[in-house]
This record gives sequence, structure tokens and C-alpha cells, in this order.
Amino acid sequence: MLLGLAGLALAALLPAGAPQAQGTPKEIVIGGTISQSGPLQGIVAPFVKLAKAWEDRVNARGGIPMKAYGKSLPIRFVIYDDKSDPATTLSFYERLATVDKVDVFIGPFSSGLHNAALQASVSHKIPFFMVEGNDPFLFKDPNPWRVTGLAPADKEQTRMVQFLSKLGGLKTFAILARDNLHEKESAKGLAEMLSQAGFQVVYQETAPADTKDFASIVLAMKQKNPDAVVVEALAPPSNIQFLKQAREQGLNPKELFVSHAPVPVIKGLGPSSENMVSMLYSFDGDSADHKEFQELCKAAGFEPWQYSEAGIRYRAYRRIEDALERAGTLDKEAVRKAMWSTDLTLFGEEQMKHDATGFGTDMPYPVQVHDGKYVSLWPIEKGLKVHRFKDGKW
Amino acid sequence: MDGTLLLQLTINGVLLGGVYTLAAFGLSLIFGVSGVLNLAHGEFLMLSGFLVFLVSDRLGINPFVAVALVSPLFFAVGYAFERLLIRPLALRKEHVRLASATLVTLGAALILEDGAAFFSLGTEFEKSVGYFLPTLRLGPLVLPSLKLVVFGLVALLIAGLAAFLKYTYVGLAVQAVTQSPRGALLNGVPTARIGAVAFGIGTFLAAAAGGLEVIHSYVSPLIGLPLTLKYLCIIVMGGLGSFVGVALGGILIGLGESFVGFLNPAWGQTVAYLLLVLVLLTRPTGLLGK
Amino acid sequence: MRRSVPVLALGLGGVLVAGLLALPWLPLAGGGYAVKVLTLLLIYVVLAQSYDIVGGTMGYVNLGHIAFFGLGAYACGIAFNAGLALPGALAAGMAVVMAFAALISYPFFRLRGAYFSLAAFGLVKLMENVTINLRWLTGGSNGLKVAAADRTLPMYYLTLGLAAATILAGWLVNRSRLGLAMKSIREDEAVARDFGVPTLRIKTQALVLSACFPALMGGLYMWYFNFIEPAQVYGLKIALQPVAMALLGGSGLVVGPVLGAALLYALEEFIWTHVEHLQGAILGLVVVLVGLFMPGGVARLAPVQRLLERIGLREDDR
Repeated sequence: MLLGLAGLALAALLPAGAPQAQGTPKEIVIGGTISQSGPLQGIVAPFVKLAKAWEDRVNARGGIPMKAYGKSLPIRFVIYDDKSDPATTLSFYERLATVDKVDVFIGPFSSGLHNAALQASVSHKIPFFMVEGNDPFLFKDPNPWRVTGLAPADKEQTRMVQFLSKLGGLKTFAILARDNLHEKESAKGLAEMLSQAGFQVVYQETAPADTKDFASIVLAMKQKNPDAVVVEALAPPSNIQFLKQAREQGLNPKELFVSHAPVPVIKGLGPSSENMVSMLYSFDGDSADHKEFQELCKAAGFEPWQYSEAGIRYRAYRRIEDALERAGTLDKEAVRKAMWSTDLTLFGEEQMKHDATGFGTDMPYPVQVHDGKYVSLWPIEKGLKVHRFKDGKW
Repeated sequence: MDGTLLLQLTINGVLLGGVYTLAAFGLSLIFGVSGVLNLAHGEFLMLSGFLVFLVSDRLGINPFVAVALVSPLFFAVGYAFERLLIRPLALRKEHVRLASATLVTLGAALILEDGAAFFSLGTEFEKSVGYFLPTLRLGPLVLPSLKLVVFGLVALLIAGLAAFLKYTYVGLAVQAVTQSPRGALLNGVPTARIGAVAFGIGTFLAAAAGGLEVIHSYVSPLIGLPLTLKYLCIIVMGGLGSFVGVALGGILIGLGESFVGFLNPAWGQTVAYLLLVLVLLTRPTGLLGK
Repeated sequence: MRRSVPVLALGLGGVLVAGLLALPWLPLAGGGYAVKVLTLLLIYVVLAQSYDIVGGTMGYVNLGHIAFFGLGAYACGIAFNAGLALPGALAAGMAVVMAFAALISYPFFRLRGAYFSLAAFGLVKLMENVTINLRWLTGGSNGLKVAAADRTLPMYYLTLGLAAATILAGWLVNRSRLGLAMKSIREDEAVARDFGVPTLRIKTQALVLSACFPALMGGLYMWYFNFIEPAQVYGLKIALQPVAMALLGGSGLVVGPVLGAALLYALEEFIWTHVEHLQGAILGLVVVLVGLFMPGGVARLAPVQRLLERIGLREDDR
């Protein structure tokens, strides 16, 4: 202990860091964390490889052209494991700022972890490219150092509602949201959009994050006899438990919609997962971006449908590259300005822009489980042909 | 609220209580005999679920067979745990022993939790067996089959335990040690070995609960400690040293969560702790405690 | 062998004193990261030390101690957002917590042993759930925010002061009549009562006293981090941490919790920066080893006791 304290004191007396080297920068350092362990690992762990694949690809074509330095600079990701924990996330973002001296931040997964990470952006004045973080709570206080590519959480299910409006055959909805930052907002927005589209929300409740037994909630839903049941839960445990007990208690809706249902959820349900509808940040198409995205996923060792958030990551990489190129320099203020003025067309048809608050325009697309795999239900015309109702069959 | 709904909520509540009781039982047995609040109890539950999942998912074995194969292994695990980590503490003064046992079991819990997380890297963090035991129906009522199995096991358990405690040597020895470790020792009861046996049985019960849990719901490396503490609250509410008390406490909480969860899901999780605090404030040694 | 001990003790004692005296000057030496690291350590010291007033000196393992911290954090945050400046908000937080401690004292101190400990823990879970559900007041699962600002430096000094105050309070209580009464309760409550010790009053005083420090710490925590959520201040890990630290270091000794907090924290930092995987498992292993081989905690190890004696910090033990 004494040695420890003495060591700390000694470490503190050492100079804070080597003085800044003058001259042109040699590379662009992009820093962030990815949950490689903990409850969120199943959703984003391979994204470390995804980032590497992107890094290799960009550097293979010479890097990003930087006007101010008269040449292209290679990029380098520095990614730590935040263990799905907010405190760890903040520590690492602090470290990225002070020790790794990154040029820009790329966000972690989930609004919760963004909440922690963003604290580092203000104190260190480093442009923060948010990724999977879109809750209004994050945008309550103005912060010029961060923007997100995603549309606000309460608009997240827009495309789903569009699809359902065209689909027909459903009238009443029961919505259960996990009591957490993101899920509440998303469920609220969904309920509003459904009502506006002429659907009827007959049940809408929030369950505490540590609910383990959903029998009572399922029973309450059954009482309302909904056509469609919606579960808004970010990470597996909640949805697996709910779904298994819905099956057990005999809740047999015509349509089952689970906002986030990665492979472990599909596996946990077995054949009962058939025709479950969910959301993914990618859709079928053959634009150049589609091809690039698929190649990157392949290089990272997975299929796009297995990791729903991969599409957001890809869009974030593109935003970063675009902003850096337009800024032409690594001066943080210039990058920050360029970050806000993104205007990109991705995947042939998506307009990527930011509004005055800092939100973007990214929204997920509906998909459905066929034979244990996700099949895209977008574009709508194609989706309508492929879609099958769950019809209460588990 | 009509009769069917009331009945369904009651059935759900009792069955849920059964689930709690199965796992809490082992903890109560361990405490009764060794005087140790085993903070690693939930980890054994988790590990068993982990193994059952691996056995059934990777080897294709029927999950229930897997539970029957895996759970008995944990008797040995519990026995060894007691001999290695708890027995050395036996001769310490009481409050020192309690402090040491807390540290030892807490440390063990951390090791097991982190070890499980480590072995989950690159694979599923939450493990859930995709096996469905079709629900039984009784008219308009739904009887979740798996919970019925658990409940049946608990009923068997209580009956079996009662007989065991009354009619077998080991059972009588357990009673003796629970009542007075010193007295038992003076009477020639091998208290040390009884302690290990109790740990073995208790851990076996946790393992059975864990195996069934991964089929019914899921397990993940993080469920251990929160569950342990919830079970501790249950056995304390029921009254330390009383096995019927555990069942009573478990079922009471199950019913509470079932009804409150129906009326207002937001307060469902509060019920258990509210009940605990209320019970203890009115009966300082729990429902059936001495 | 014998002669080297005084030299070693003097040397280590000197480093200790130098280290402690250097603490207020730390930020000036430019160690920004070290300041943050140390602030966190000091928070743990406050929590562990204040826990041990009731847990160690009085022998009631209060697994619900963290309730004072969480309540203090939320009360201060709400007061701060309502317009009070920091001193007022902190005072409001402390008042709320002290009233709360006094209120729960009577019903909870009818319980003994494991009943008390787990009822106290149940209370924390209850407060966590209530905090999540009273969204209009606390922000619920979204958490509570206060106006953001960089408060590193003042936080460091305030926490340093609070930690010193907590340790001082622990030391004073130990030597006081209150402390004597508390220890008599710990040794044998029934006998203490028979001898005329007003046990309920003593226990209430002890609890309220032990609640002041985490209450203030919670308020400062809220102010410093700008943001808290229920799981963060009422969660399992942070609830068990002060207990583990006190037990590790040596519960019942004034130097115990400080030692335990410093050791555990230094260990955590070391593991965190040197090992990539199984960090929790290594930590757990250390805890197990301490439990097995150091009955009564690190401070009660014979060599440590001798060292403490040499530098004059040894206390009378039970």
C-alpha cells in the first residue's frame, strides 16, 4: 500500500507528457471503445475487426487526402474494450484523449455508454462521431463537439411503421419496453407513429431492467388480445425471457416484433423464432456502398444480417472519412465544423445530414426470420412479397 | 378481475415461488449447518446452467438429460468448496470467521463470475436453450410445464428432506449440527464432514435450479451475485434455519411479484424487497425463524 | 535482522508521511490523471471508513450503507437543480440523509446479525427501485444530470478534506465514550443493555454519524460527475465495495478501512493496466487469499501490527 501510494505520488510528479512534436502529422488516429465483453458483447464484438477492415481498405488506397498537408494520411483505429460498462467507457475515452492523443472519437455501442463517453469530448475538445446513440437525453445540453448519424430515437421505427401501413392485416398493438434510456424513447415514438398511422395501441408498459419473470405482463397483454406484440429491448436477456414466457403462457399474436433480436435470441427460441420481425441497419441492394459494406463484413468474419448494428458503424466510418477530407486538416475545430456539415448519399438513396441539434438521418429497416436467418423486408414492394405473418405459431 | 385471471395469477405466483425456493433451499441448508452465507451460491447456479447449455447445444443432448447429468457433479463441487475454503476457517472466533467467510465466498463468486465471462468471450454471453416443453392447459388456465417440473421437484424436496432429517443418520447429524455445533461435536458427530455434505447438497440444488433456469429462461455470467442476494433475502425473510420458512418466503414473494407485476409492471421488482423489509420489521427473526 | 526493522519502519513511515503531505500539492505537479485516480480512491476511503463506524466498531454489518451515499447524491442533485448553490445543496442532502438514518434506526435496529444485514441490503434495492420509478423527481432510468463543468481540482481538495474528516471522526469515536458504548454493544448487546447502556440511542447516534460522510460524498460525487443513474449509486458492486474494503483491511480498526481501500484500489488499478483478461478473477483470488490467510484483515497481520506500532498507529484491538 505504502509503495503503491508512493508510486502514485511519483507518477504524478512526472511530466504530464512529451511536448507536442511540431511538423506535419504522420497519421490520423481514431479512438473509441467496443464492448468485447459483458452483456453487449454479442451485439458488437466483431466490430473491432470491422474497423480494422475499414482501416486496411482506406490505407490501401493511400489514406485520406489532407489538403493542408499536401498529401494523404493513413488512418489508425485505437479501440479498447469497454466491458459494456459506463465507468470503464469513460476511463478509456479519457485515456484515448490524454495518452493515445486521438484526433477524433468514434462512439461506443448504446446510448448509455455514449452518455459516459461524451463527457470526455467536452473536457478535451475532440470531435466525437457518435455511432449507436440517438436518445434526446444525450442532446438535452448543447454540445458542439458531438453529432450522431442516427435519427432521434423516437423516429427509429419509422420504416417499420411505413411497412406495416402498406402490409395491412393488423389493427391492435401491444408494446413492452425495457425501462432504460433508449428503449423507452423508441417505444414512445413507435406508439405515437402507430397511432398517427391509424393503428390502435391497446397496451403500452415499461418493465424494469432486471425483470426476470414476465408471466404477469404476458397475461396483461393477453387480456387485450393484440394483433401484434412489440418488444423494445436492447440486449438479449430481456427479450429471450419475455418471448419464452409469451410462448409458455399462450400469447399467440399474429405478428411478433422484437426491436433487437441478435442471433442468441433466435437461437434461444429455436424454431419458435420463425417469422419474428426485427430491425437491421442494412437492406438488400446492389449499390457500390452495398458491395463495400458486404465485403467489410466478410473481412470481419460475419454476415451483415448477424449483426444489426454493423450498418451504423459503416455509415460512421464514411462520415468520419468525409468530414476529415472536407476539413483537409487535423485541426480539431476545423474537423468539428466539417463534422456538422455532412451531406452524403449512401447506399444509393440515403441522405446523411445533421440537424441543428446534432441528430442524423439513419434509421433501420425491417427484417424477418426465415429459417433462423434474417431476410430483408426492404424495399417495401419486395418485403410485402416475402413477408409471412407469425399467425400465433410458436 | 375475474376468477380465471385471479386463479391464473395465483398459479403463476406459486409456481414462481417454487422456482425461488428450489435455489434458496440449498443456501438455507448451508447456512443452517455451516453458519456461512455462501455468496458464491448463485455462481454455481449460473455455472450449472452454463454447462447444461454447452452439453445440450454443442453435443445435442436432451436438455433435461443434461440437467440430470450435470447437477450431481455439483455435489462434488460444493463438497470440495467447503473443504478447501470454508473448513480452514472453522476454528476462528465467530466474528472473525464470519468476516473471513464473507471474503472467501465473495472472492470465489468474483472468480467464478469472471471466469464464466472469460469463457463466454467470442460466444454467447447469454445462454438460452432452445427447447420448449409444451404448456399444459386446464380449461382456460395455463400451466407452464417447466415451472411445474420445478415445483414438483421442490415438493419432492421438502418431503424428501423432512424424511431425510428424521430418519437417516446423516439427517439427524445435520439437525444436531444446526442446533448446536459444539453439542454435536461433543456427541461424536463428524461435524466437519457434515458441513461438507451440506455444502454438497446445497450446491447440487443450486445446480439443478440453474440447469432448469437455462431451459426456462437464460443464464449469463452476471446473474450470480444478484440472485444470491435475492435468495439470501428470501431465506432471511422466511427465517434462518427453517426450511418451510424458505418455501413460505419464496411463495409469498412469487405471489407478490405475480400480482403486482400484473397491476403495474414498474413496481414488480420492488415487491420482494418491500416484503422483506415489512416482514422483518414486524417479525425480527423472519416468518418462521427461531 | 532486529536492527534493520527500525530503519525499515522509519523509512516507510517517512515515505508515508511524505506521501500524505504531498497530497495537497499533487495537482500542482501536473499529474492530471493521478489527481483523478486519487480522487476515486479517496471516495472509497470515505465510504469504507464511514461504513466501519457501524460495521466494525459496533459490529452491525450494514450492507445498506451505500443507501446514504445514493440518497445524498440524489438529494444534492435535485437541490442543485432547484437552484441551490453547492454548499446549500450539500447541506440539504446531508439533512435528508441524516433524517432518513434516524428514521430507519428504530425499526431496523430491532434486527440482529444476518437479519439486520440483509434487511439493510433490501432497503438499498428498494430505494434503487423507487428511484427508478419516481421519474418525475429523479429522472428514473435516464439518470439525473446537473449542469456540466470541469470540477476536477475543487473535487480533489474537497474529497481529500472529507476523507481526512472521516478518518478523524473514526479515530475520535474510537476513543470516545460513544465508541466504548458501541464496542460494548458489539461484544455482547444483551449484557450491555443490562449494564445500562442505552443501546437504541447509541445505535441511532452511530448510524446517523456514519451516514453523514457518505451523504456528503454522494453530493460531491453528483456534482463532480455531473450525472448519476440508480444502478451506479445503489448498485450491488458499489454496495459491497466498502464492506469488502473494510474487511480486507481490518474491520474494527481505524486504520483498517483506509488500508483496505488503498490496497484494493491499488490492486484494481494495477490489474486494470497490466492484465487484459480475467481481471475480476484475479481480484477475487486476492480477496479469497486474504480471507483464508489473513483473519481479521491485512492490518491485523503480525508484521503490519509491528510496523504500525513502530510508527505509532497501532490501536487496541478487541
